[in-house]
Amino acid sequence: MFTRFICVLLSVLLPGFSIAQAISVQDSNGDFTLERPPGRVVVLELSFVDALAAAGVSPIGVADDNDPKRILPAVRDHLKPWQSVGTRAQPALETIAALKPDLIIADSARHAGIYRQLSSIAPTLMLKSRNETYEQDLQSAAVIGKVLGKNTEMQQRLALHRQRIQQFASQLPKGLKVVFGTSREQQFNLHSRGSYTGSVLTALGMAVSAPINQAALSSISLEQLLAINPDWLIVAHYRPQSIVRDWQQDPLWQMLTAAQNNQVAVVDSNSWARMRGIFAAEHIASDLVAILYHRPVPPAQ
Amino acid sequence: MMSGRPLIAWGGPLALLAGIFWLSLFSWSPVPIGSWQAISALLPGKVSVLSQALVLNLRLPRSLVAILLGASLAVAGCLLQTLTRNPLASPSLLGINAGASLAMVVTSAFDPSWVAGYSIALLAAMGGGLSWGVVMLLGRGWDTAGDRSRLILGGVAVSALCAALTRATLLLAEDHAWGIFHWLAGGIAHVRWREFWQLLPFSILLLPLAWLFASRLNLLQLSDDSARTLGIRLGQLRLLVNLVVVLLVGSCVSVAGPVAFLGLLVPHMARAWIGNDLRLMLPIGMLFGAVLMLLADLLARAVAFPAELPAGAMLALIGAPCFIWLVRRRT
Repeated sequence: MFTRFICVLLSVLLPGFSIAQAISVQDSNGDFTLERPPGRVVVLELSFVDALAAAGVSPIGVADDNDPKRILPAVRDHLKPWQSVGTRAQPALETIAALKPDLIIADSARHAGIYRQLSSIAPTLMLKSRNETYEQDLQSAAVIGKVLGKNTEMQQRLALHRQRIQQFASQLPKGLKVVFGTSREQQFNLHSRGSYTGSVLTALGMAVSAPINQAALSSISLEQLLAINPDWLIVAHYRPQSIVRDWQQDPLWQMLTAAQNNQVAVVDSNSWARMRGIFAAEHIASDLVAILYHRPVPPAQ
Repeated sequence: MMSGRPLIAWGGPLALLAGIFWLSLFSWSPVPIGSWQAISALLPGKVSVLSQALVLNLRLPRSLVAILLGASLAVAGCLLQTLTRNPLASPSLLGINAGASLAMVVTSAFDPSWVAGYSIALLAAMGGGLSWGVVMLLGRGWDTAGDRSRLILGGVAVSALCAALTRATLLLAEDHAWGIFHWLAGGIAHVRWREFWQLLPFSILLLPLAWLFASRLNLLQLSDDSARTLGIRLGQLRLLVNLVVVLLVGSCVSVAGPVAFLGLLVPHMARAWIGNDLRLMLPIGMLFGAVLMLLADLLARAVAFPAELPAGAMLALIGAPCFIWLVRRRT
């Protein structure tokens, strides 16, 4: 009786006491339990960095493709310097092990093949990141908040996020047909409403194309773009040589409503197509407001 | 063999080509195009409707490029199979495709500053030319006394090396791999008039030139010795034919990426249709190549409509059963 009293007393007096309790969440492998909140976290996807920043935790290692600038400045501002653990596709396991992490957060699709190696280094939380939608990302952020022992902070940040998105959406006209795509040398990839960016645009009240043949992203031709004929076309060029720039020289380009009305915009590929997360969605939303009001989009870097 | 009935032998493939060409102008379009509109767009006059503009600016150049590509690759295949006297020889054998792929992948993945400003197409063609040069050196392509299988071995070795490097690069630069994979399958989804005008001079010059070699290459089909005793300068001929092949394939690669299988399959089809005489086989091969390429591009649009697949992938799909049939027929 007395010990229980002490316990209750301590848990009231010391807010940090709950730390001593095991944390249990669901990840893509089922139950995931940690004895105590982790101090040293390594993350292998950019969306997880975003979630950590939202919870106010700095990772010690990030698979940042050896290019810290791939992470949004708004996210970087919240973080202490980290060590790169290589590319997202081929994270350097030895570097990860050398960092002695308490927790690794990995992508359930991309890193399923190295799950055993990762979990022999540290407890590994597997969450969906690649090909996730906006809602799935927010759910993952909530799970990450719990695992980090920052559930309250994360819930507050999520509430603030929903409020901000509402605010952005209220400034925008509803049901505009918007196409967002990434353009490479030989390919223009349409991000449908099943993709991350597509679902963010949908949450902002835009009409985004449905997936073609169930694929969230699909490579489309100028012919297909003409068939969709959006009100607004938003393009992220991955490279200077880019197929949309070729299309713009084409006589057919002027048949697009977006081209006729001067409603074609260029955005940063990192913040619109690579990053996912709370900050990323807010960035996309604020860019979209600027674009639709024909204001210049602030540079990302 | 149809050489005895010239009307069927030539009229048949020509009619087939015309039919598929017409189909390719309007079918499986995300913006509906009428079959009559496809023809009326080609007639002189003002074009105002979107569907007609599509035919004129997208479909027509695409189909014409398919025809040139098919003809060029088929001729390149015929020449190589005769030259190496190997029925499995094809343009990919000389390492041109593999070298072009490697050049494309490396520039795409690492984006080195010294190639900035050059088009990927040009770099791919240069990569193809470079690996071809290495194969020629290894295989002594000009050497009359040497063993002809040296060229094949050299090609296999260089292709394998380039493929390994390509794969390693794709692993390192996975971020760009998705776009590159599409290109590596070979296709003409994005070609326009510019690509057509880029390809046309090569085809106009090289295809007739290849035909001029036909009678001398016919003698080569007997044996090197008999060709030599009949007054053929073997070394010169080999080098010239190889040059024609690399220019033909290089121009194709720069437009459509590495299109495989066509150069292997069409010579066999042409031989089965018209016989071994290259003077007839080359023009029939051009017709068959054009039909096959158009058909592949049509299927590439049809199977996953409204999405598109690379035409190169479709070629293997049509080509493999044809090839098996040809092989079974021979035995």
